[in-house]
Formats: sequence, C-alpha cells, structure tokens
Amino acid sequence: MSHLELTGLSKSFGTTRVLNDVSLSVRDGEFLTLVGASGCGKSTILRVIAGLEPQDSGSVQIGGRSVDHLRPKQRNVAMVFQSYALYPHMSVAENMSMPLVMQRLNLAERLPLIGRLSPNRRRVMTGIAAEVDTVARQLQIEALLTRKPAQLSGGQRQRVALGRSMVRHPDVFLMDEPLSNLDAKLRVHMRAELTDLHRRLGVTFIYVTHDQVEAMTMSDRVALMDEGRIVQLGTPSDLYHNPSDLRVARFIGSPQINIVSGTTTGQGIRVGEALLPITVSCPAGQVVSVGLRPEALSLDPVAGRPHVAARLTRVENLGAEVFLHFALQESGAPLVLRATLQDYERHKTRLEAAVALGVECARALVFDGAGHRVDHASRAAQRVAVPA
Amino acid sequence: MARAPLRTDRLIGSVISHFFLMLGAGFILLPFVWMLLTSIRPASEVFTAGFNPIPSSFAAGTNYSEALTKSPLLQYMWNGVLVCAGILAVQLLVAIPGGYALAKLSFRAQPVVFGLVLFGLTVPVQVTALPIYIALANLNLLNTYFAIMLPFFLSVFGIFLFRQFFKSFPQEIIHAARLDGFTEAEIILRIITPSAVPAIAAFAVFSITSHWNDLYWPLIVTTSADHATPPLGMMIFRDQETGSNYGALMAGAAIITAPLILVFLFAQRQFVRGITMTGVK
Repeated sequence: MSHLELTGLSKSFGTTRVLNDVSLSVRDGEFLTLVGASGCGKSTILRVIAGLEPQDSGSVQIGGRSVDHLRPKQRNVAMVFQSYALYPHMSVAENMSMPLVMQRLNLAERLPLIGRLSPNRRRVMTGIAAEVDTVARQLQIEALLTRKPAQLSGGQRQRVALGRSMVRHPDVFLMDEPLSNLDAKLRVHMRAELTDLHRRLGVTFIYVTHDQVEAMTMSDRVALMDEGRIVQLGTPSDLYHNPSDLRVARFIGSPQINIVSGTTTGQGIRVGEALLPITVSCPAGQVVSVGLRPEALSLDPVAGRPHVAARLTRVENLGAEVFLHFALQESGAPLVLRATLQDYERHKTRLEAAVALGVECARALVFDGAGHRVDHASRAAQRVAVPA
Repeated sequence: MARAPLRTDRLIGSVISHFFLMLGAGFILLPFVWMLLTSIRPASEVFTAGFNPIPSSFAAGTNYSEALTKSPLLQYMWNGVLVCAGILAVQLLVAIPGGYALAKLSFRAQPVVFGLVLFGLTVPVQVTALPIYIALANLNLLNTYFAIMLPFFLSVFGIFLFRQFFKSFPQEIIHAARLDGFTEAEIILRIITPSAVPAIAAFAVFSITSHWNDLYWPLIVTTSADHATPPLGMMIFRDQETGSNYGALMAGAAIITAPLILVFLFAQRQFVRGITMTGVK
C-alpha cells in the first residue's frame, strides 16, 4: 500500500513563501499531475516528498506512515529529474545499478578497494547485474549498458534515468518535468510510454509539469497550482469543463479559453450588444469575465439564440480542424473558434464581412472580479475544488 | 572544402596580434633560454661581453655531470617530490570536502566560514611563520619533512577554487545520489571527485609549482642537506664548492626545472580530458 498524504505543507525560502498550506491525498496506484507555471511550487512539493528539502511545517505520509523523520533513501521513493541527473563518469549499467548497490552492500563492501575482499560482494553484484538487465530489456536499452551518458541521445538518457528509478521498485515515482528536454515528437512518444509504464507497474506516480497537454493526456487527476497553493484538484475533464477559478480556465486548454468581459443584469450577462441568458449568483451591475471555450462558439447562429458580432482576423489551418481568430466588433477583444474544415469552407465567403457567432450559453463559464466561478453550473466545480 | 581567402585587414590584424603574443612569450621565456644556454657554456664564456647565443665551445657534458655528481641533486629532487606529494595529498583531502560543504551544503555558519576562507586568502605565509617555527622548535620537529609541509596542509586557495568549481555542479545529480542512498562522504568520493579532474589538475599545477620552487620556508626549518628541497639544495650547492661555476649551477637549475614542465604537460592533457568528460548536460 502506498497512498500518499500531504497535510498542511508550508515552505519558505528566505522571505519567499513557496508552499502555502498544501494538503493533498494521492491514492495508491494513481497517476497524479501537479501542473502550473514555473515558480508555483510544484517541484518543491516533489523535493519535500523525497526528503531532499525539509518542510517548514506540515507532514508527509506514505502508506499511512509518517516519513518526515526519514532520510531520502529510507522513504523508498524514486525520482526522475528534468536534466536526468545521470552520474556522468559511470556507464549506463553502473548508473542503473547504483540504487541497488547502495541498498544491498554495507558501507565497507562499497569501498573502492577494500570492498572487493568481501565474498558477499560478488554474489550481490551478480544479482544486481541480472536485475539491471531485466529492466534494461523492458526499456529496450540493453544495447547501451556499457556506454557513458555523454554518448547517449536525450531520449536514451531519459530511459536510463527511468531505468535507474525502476530497479529498486519504489513505492512512489516522482517525476520532475521529465519530458521537457526532449524534442516535440519524442515527447509525444514518451508520453505514451510513461502512461504505459504506469499501467504495467501499477505504482503511484506524481508527475510535475508546466505543460497542460501532458497533464491532460496522462493523468488520472490533475492538481493545478499557483503561488504555492493548489487551486483546483480534479480529473482532466473536470479542470477543462468545470474550472473553479479563472486561473484554471486560462491555464488548461489549447487554444486558450476566450475571455470576454460583460456586465450582469437581471436577465443575464450583457456582452456588448448581446445579452447572454446565464444566471449567476452575484448581484446585477457587476463586471464579470465570461469564459468561452473555442468549441462553445459556432459559425451557424441559431435564430433566437444569443450571438456576438465579430470580424475574422486570422485563420490557422491544422488540416482536420481550423482555428478561426476573430475580433469582437464592439471591443476588439480576441476570440478563437474551433471549426471543422468543412464548416470553414462552407462559410468562407460569408466570413469576409463581419459575422454573427453563435454562443452556446450552457457551456459558458462565468467568473467574478476575484476569479471565482459564479454561474450556476459552478456548484459541481466548487465541490471538487476542496481536496478530500 | 575550399578555404575562404584571408582578407587583407584580417591578415594584418592577425599578424599584429601574433607579434605581440610572441613578444610576450619571448619576454617570459628569455630567462629559461638564458639558463639553458648558460648551462652548456664553459665557465670562461659565461661572463664574456656581448650576446652570443651559440657558445664557441660546448661544455654541456662537464656542466651537467658536475651538477649531478658534486651535489646530491637527485636527493634534493626526491625530497622535493616527497614534500610536494605530501602537501598536495593533504591539501586535496581537506580542500575537496571543504569546497563541497561550502558550495552545496547549507548550514548556519556557512557565510562565516566562507568569509574566513576569503580572509585566509589575504594572509601571507610570512605572517604565521614565526609562531609555527617556535611551535616546531619546541616539539623538536625542525629538520623533518613534516616541518617543511606543515604550514601548507590547509590551502584556503584550494578550498576557494574547489568551492567555485562545485558551485556549477548540477544539484540534481547530488539529489539523485542522496535518493539512491549515497552518504555525503560517498557523494564526495564517488560523484564529485571524478567530476573534478580538471579542477584537481589545475590546483595540482599551482600547488606543485609553488612548493617545488619554495625557498623561504625550507630555508627556515631545515639546515641539513638531507631534507633540502631543490631550490634550497641549489643554494647549498652554490655556497659549497661550485662558487662561481655558473655553468654547472645553471645545469642544476635546468635539471630541477624539468619535472615541473613535465607535470604541467601531463596536467594539461588531463585538463582537456576532464573538460570533454564533463560535457554532459
């Protein structure tokens, strides 16, 4: 059993507060991603879990047992670093066997020359070599075992770093932006491999990234962080469709969510000349932000449904789908619309002049001045925002 | 591949810069050249007026054999090797862990300790000479190798140099090592030291050169030829019989300089190797 429980973690570096009362509960075998802009404290959480940085307050439990007093190696967690952190002067095989050597040989047996005198050492080393071989075969790096890290490509180093963390069968894998040094194509490939690996090992993964695509595609649950706090914790779908906070709505989704400002009235929200019939929980006359995902806008406004007037500024053709960039007629605010290629072709001539874009009000997300969700659909979002 | 023709202005620039570089090199090398030339001259030609690089008669054989036979030059050099090796070994033993602690560990006294290291850099060896001499004299340790080595065991320069070098060592590798179960001593021994080969080579050149050439301290603590280091030996050699035989004296000087040049050439190769080895991102 290796569920992980963080309670009230806080950490400051000098006067900067990096972690602010973070509590988080990760289920056994879960793939949980911490996502956020750089400097939001996500990597610090990993280092605190690993025992590499002491927290100022709060506690870490792994498998129901507090590990606060344990040294990094006693916590039985493995970490994969962004720079891979391979030992530069050791071969791939040596790199991968190090965690086991440190675990199974005592201090005297590990000494460079004296250690060789121990009869136990040879037996243990043979066993380790066999295990390293097995893991290397799983990762398809058995041909690289004699090479030095400098002779490997980025993807190969990545696999070696993974292998080094796998050999000791840790309770928890901690991954600190492991894919961000790879090129785009390899990154997509390694994403699939990592999720596959997670499924095969069935161990808890805590994955840190600033890339919302990685967070969305790989995780069981995602915790979005900002300024040392968890803003929202939920499934990728929750975060996309039901963000509890404007920061979450902006961070998740590509292309980014459209934000237009409007004013609440008794009947709904007025955006320019259009009136969107959305009920909100705040009083009339307030300025709010209306978030519209690119697929909540359409080129075919249905009569009687709300629409906004906009002018086409730019077209991004991705082949199967097209991103159409508009500017709102009244305010000039930018809007992105996701359309199929067929839809775009059908409306092409009409798009030369200003057009009316249909707004699907049921999918609109409304946030008040402080960035909190205020539309009625938000109740569900507020519930998942509170960590268990 | 076709080489682009060198443009005239770049050619002139290159000629000028090479001229100044060669001038500088010549200025620095001149004493060595003079030493070598004197070492192959007969005594009669040493003080002739005018500058004639090629002597009219060669006396290399007599000069060098006189230098080697009339003084225990090999004994002096062996003393030099022992003293330099002893000093360097203890210096590395202290400076590598010290530099690591100052660069990578955070403890409350760290700024104070680093401040003291910087302060130590400004204290010349002459300042502490008298108290150390008195202590050694009271302990009856004068005229020993230990006495010659003692003041140099702690090299604040070494600590500073290694601290600067380790500052740039990736913190993530140290974190990985701690997670893998390395103790701090093992991190120093198995991770940090192998990566510090270029720094060790550079420091070794500095340390060996200065202690091989040091005359001041050996002159204070030794009076016997048994423990004399090469420069002190040269002095004893001059005082004794050779007196005015500058040819033999220069031959001796050439012999005791040769190991330094070898050490430097060896360290230079290590240097390049070390740099390519750490070319890991």
